[in-house]
Amino acid sequence: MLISEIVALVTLIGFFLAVSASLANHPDDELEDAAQLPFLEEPDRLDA
Amino acid sequence: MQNTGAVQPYNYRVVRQFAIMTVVWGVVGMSVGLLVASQLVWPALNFDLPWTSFGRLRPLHTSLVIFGFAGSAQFAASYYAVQRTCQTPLIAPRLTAFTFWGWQAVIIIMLVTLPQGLTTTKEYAEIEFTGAVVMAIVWVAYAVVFFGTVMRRKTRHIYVGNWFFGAFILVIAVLHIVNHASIPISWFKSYPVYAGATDAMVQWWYGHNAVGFFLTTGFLGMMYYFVPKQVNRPVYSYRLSIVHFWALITLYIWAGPHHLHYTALPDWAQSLGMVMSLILLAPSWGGMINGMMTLSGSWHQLRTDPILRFLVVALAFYGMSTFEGPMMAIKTVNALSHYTDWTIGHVHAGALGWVAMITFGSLYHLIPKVFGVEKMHSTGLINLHFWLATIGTVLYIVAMWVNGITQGLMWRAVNVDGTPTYSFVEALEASHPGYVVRVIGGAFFLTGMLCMAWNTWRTVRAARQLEAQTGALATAH
Repeated sequence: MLISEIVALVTLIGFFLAVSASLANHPDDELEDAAQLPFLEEPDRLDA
Repeated sequence: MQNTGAVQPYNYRVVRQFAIMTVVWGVVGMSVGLLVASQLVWPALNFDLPWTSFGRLRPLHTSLVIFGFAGSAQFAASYYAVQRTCQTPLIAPRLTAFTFWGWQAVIIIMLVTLPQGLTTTKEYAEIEFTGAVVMAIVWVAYAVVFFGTVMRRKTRHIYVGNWFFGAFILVIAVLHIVNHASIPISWFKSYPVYAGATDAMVQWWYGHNAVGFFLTTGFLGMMYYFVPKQVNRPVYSYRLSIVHFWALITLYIWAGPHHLHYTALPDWAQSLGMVMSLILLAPSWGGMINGMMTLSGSWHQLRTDPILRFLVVALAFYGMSTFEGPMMAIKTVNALSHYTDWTIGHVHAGALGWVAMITFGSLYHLIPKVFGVEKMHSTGLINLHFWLATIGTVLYIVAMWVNGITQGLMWRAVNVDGTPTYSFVEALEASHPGYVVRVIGGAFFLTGMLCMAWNTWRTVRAARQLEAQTGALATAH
């Protein structure tokens, strides 16, 4: 059980670090812009 | 990231091909599913032939619906969304075409070998050595096309849907290669390099993540693109989508051991699988809520838009099955549910309710666009498909819940002298009504799939006619 608890704890710490780093790289205004990406597509360009 | 200057057309050809094959493999795979479900009601349908026996057709059903139907859907959706959100065509058109023909070859190999009994016997990884190698090559080509396109994007940010597609592609490559590590003794017979409990653990590390990454992560990529597009408003919280992504990929990979509760697997590994499965509820519901809340202020659209209904009901089933999964991973619950039909019901709540429904919604959105028509041939047929699929799913899963709990309780019942109260056959007899209801539910679902096939065919035919008229008009002028 001790091993499983340690692994679970380490994973959660890893998750926290990954999310923190990811969000720190993307300020709020950039995230708002990013959410608009599916609506900023160029007009449909059908292939020939 | 680069700007190529000249406007190049998006590569919709491969999207069209994969979209059509999604429908084709859906019809074929679900038909085999209905046949094997019927065999459990009427054993005569095994026809006393080895090729048509339940043991050989059941893995064919799972392989066709997972890799043929769900796989083709994810190729189509990811190729469509990545071009549009990166504002650049797919790179390497020939390699892209290879991914289509190569993937279809893999499905054909499954179709030919599995009824012959050529199988690794590993669930969801039954394809034997040669087929597995072809599959790995196609998958690497897919990764090159997808990530190459992302690298050539004209946008600064990579849209979160592509994060999910990317994780799905990378993790499936690792899972497939590690689980298929084996020593071949002929083209279609090999033995795994692992043995005993290690082999079981590797298999269920693969097996659970086949669900987690092949049947969840890629489809979440679909959800993050197609739900906002269909509602016509951005995702509820982009910040939550990032937390959802990291939490999901961090936790899912650890949950496999819950498939091996009360086996020779070390107890600590079983407990770890249980704990991780329970924690997994949080990101799963975070994603589900994010998708649902995207409809805030637009719920009225559900009255008139059957495509949106598919997408929302898919999210509801996703929420339901990702609540049920962690509960079933608790050892004491698992002691009742394991090896019973409850597991089959749980899998189909995810497979029919989540995977198939989100696929139907996404394809109904995508097909008119890639074929250059305004909308699908018949909105009424989409509506009919929605109700057939929903009723079919509910009948299926309720029947399996009832069967599963009945079986679990009958198997564990003991007399005062310690002998079993019921024989296995008595539990099987008690399950018979549930198997009949499952066949009815499956027939509903397959009928819906046939409606989709007809609707798609008519849409494609209309697109061809429009193309011919436009061509004739252009020539006349």
